[in-house]
Amino acid sequence: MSSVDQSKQVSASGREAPPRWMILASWPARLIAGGVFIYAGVLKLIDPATLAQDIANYQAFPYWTWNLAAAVVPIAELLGGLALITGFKRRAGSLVLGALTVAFIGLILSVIVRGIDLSCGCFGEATQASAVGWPLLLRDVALLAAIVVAYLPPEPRSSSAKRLAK
Amino acid sequence: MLALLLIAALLVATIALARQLELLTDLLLLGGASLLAGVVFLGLHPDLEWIATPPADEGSCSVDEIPSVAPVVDRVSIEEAQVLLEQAQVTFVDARPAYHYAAAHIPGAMNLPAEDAEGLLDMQSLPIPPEGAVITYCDGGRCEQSEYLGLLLRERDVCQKVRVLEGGWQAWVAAGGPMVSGDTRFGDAPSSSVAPEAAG
Repeated sequence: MSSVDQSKQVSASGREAPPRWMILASWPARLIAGGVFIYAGVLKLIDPATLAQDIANYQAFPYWTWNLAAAVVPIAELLGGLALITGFKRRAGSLVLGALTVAFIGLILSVIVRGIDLSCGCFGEATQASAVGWPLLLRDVALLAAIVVAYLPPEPRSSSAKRLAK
Repeated sequence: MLALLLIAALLVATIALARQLELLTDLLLLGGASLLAGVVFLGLHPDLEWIATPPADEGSCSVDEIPSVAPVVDRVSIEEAQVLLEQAQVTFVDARPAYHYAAAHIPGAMNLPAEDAEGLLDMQSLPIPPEGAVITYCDGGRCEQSEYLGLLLRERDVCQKVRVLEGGWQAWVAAGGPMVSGDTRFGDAPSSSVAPEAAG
């Protein structure tokens, strides 16, 4: 979506052109982070009851949020992942996914600190064995890094571009 | 509480990042769409309602169909149960629904959901040596399900040395007791297909 030519056009309308590496690096980051979240979102949506139970097992949320989170989080993951891959609302999508990932990291840390042993619920039932611990934390930090890289290149803004054109 | 604070901090950070109005609008749009879709999704899956029941309240795990019984089955403390687990001297029987069991349970525990325990025991025998000791547990608090299951196991002569885990699963988790997840319940029926319909 944001090829070098497009970004030059944006720069012509008063924005700073992003460096080439930023755009090149953002593509694999978008594909990886977006793909992971779409995969995770779909798997979670298939079995929301298990996810709700996994959320309950974290013992960090009031009970009335379990169902809601079990429905909203996978959909936010799915939409965020689609935004990253298609490029439509990419920055908003990476902010949503970034916020989710930071929340996951916080949850994982709290689980490690409290010494609870539980299944993370990250990919629904597909990875029942993935227990919460340091490897999971590392994976989420890597994911967060990919999301930041995906966020970096400025978005070509249709509405402001139109405003400038008038 | 910690989680709520974290979420609030995240929200502030997100808004600070989204200084530009357009990005903020996009963000609200995406978040709103997720929330709306989530609520619709919830509405389409009324069978999920069971999850949103308060967990550890007193008597919360009593189920209407199960007759209320006075506590006549002996209790066992969490500490003693942990020692017995380590020494492998006892069989744990999980009285919770299969989906709770699948999510996490005491290592080696068998799943015998209280709601359909009688039917399951009619169909197959529980692989417990008659002279062995059993500890039943359910969700927590003054749980009547494990009490009921204990009485049932005695009545059917599956096992006479039955005790009920004091405080149930919640107390076990709070005490940092070991737990595992998975579907290895007693018998060979896949647990995921059993529970929600039977519980409904």
